[in-house]
Amino acid sequence: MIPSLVLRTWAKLLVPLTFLFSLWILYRGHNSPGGGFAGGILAATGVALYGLAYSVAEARKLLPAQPLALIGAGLGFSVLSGFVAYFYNRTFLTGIWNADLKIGTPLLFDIGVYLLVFGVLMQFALTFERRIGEEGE
Amino acid sequence: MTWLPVLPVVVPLAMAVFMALTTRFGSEHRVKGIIGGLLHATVSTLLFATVAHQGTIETRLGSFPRPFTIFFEATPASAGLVALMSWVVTAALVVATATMDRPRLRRGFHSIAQVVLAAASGALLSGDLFNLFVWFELMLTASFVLVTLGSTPAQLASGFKYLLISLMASVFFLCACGLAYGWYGNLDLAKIAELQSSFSGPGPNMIGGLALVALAIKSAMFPMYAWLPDAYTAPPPGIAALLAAVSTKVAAFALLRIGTALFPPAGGLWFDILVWAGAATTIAGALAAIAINDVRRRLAFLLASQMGTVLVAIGLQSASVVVLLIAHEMVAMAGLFFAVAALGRTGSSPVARLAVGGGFLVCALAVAGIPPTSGFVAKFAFVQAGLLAENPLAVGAVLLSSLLSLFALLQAWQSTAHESEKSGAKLGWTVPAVCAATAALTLAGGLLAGPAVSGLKETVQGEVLR
Amino acid sequence: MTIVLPALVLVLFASGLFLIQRHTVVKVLFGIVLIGNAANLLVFSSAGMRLAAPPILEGKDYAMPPGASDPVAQALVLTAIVISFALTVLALALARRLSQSMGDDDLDKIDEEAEL
Repeated sequence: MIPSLVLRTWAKLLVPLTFLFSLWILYRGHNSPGGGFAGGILAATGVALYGLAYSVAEARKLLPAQPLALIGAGLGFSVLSGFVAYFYNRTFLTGIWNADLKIGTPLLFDIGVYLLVFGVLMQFALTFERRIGEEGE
Repeated sequence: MTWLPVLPVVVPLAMAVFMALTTRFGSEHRVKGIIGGLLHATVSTLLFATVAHQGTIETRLGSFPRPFTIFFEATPASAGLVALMSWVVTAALVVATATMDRPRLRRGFHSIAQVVLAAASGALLSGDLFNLFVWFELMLTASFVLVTLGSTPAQLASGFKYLLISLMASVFFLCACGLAYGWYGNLDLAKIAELQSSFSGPGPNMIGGLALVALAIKSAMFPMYAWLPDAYTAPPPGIAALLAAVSTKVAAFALLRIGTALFPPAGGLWFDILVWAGAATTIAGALAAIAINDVRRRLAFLLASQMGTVLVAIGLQSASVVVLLIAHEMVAMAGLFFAVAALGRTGSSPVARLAVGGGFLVCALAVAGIPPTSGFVAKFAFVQAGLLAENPLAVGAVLLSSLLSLFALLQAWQSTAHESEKSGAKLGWTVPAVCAATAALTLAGGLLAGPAVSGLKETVQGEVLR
Repeated sequence: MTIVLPALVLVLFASGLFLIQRHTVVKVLFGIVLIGNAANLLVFSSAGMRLAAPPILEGKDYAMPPGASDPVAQALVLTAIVISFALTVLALALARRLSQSMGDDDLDKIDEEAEL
């Protein structure tokens, strides 16, 4: 089965758009509905669509790193954001905020969630989108 | 100070992250895995030592106030179980590393094992119902991966069955959590236990029933234990030993805590059901074990049978006995699985064969409850509690099943002794050493238990139930 | 509103239970997904439904708006959704491997073959 031209064209357009949109959702999650989980899922849908339109190998090239590394980095960011509180003598995961910049460890945590969800979904989608006979089975 | 209860969860998670980030093609993470286990053991032993000295420590993640936070609570009982579990799991990691094939190690056995360790600690230490549910699910998710690691047809089929049954149980558990929140307006286990007495009507009974069914499935209660033998036989013995030390034990402890909070108090229907279903489990498991020839399947049924004893103790509402039984079974059953992992590989060295065979024998005696072992102490405390609760029938059932287990295990011992003679595959010194150490721990538990048990009784009875 | 959600939970549960008893791996999984969603809805509705306001702290004093719905139940259901999502992904991957290695997606036949 050859994916249609329409799908291919749109996929090329939609990948950067969904990616930007996902970043906006991640940022918006700071104070309103949104956040790392929704953002990560959105980012993953873009790449998954690209994988359907072209091939898993092509989609893999769009990723900044191996899915496993993304998962590790995401979990690492989240755990790390919890440890920041240690230096302020607070309990694990207490939000430490910079009042002037309005930036704090929850943002770091959310970025971790974003990477983690993105990595997990990429691992999942790219495994399932492989057609029979494609590499790596 | 408030960091300590979190560390047994965070340390293995950080270790898993470290492994994921340093994975290259063909990485096996042998050293990192065992170091991770040792780190966890150190941290949790430290936690236990602190808690045993100073009493319960609470930690509210993110410093949020009580109903909005993720809430950890290290009581002497839960911290002690975490510490014991982490040593047993570390031993299991050593055995698994030594006996498992390379492809399985390369597929990330050690990082998944760290996640299991983190999640099991979280489930044991968590202070509220939903937090418990989340850690429990995380632990199960990771153990599905372990059961199917390597993807042989038998593993996939048993893993899929295990997954489906557990998913159903999780749904019940989740419904119980949601309804409990709706009913009591609170998820804190200690708080619910307080509120319990002021409520009547069908609500508490229904919520309790849902939680009972969910955790009964997960701790392999009699009509619902069909998933267990396959899930513990299909994967390699190292993985089975790890799961035997963790998953059903955490389920039993969760059932103890949730039962005391959610079941309507004193003489309630759900406690009675636990007693009789537990008695049925322990007898049925032991009978099935005798009827089956394969050693590992036999052990899996014995594991179910042992869980039955714990369930009876939960039904009798004697928290200290439950904790004792869980602790003893964790070590003894793991010791049996270790010996089976070494089975047929002991090779030439007579010392290694002695260690493995002797380890099996000691742990078998412990499972049956014969004197110089930890099993005797646990069973003795159990019988005491059972007679105190005036339930001689349940006590009789458990004693009968002990006798049956002894028969099944001695038979297994005989056949394993033959098998290790005829096979010649080599095995290093590590696995026999672990077998010997586990057996020594069981013996020490039996010999030094007297003062420890009386101390435990005083602390646990108050602290588990709070 | 109060009657719609329980009815929906009931329908989802019933359809899920029906699907779980099919033979095909994928149908069983769909059943599990439906039942999981039924449970999520149950948790969601456990704190009562209100249409007044989202439970977001706003203004200078970070006060909850009057009549806001209970945020705990929503946090619970969010967590539950993530868990059931992860388990569904795992189950799908497992089902795929299973039917690939057995060359069949009938659960009874898979069971027979695994016994051999």
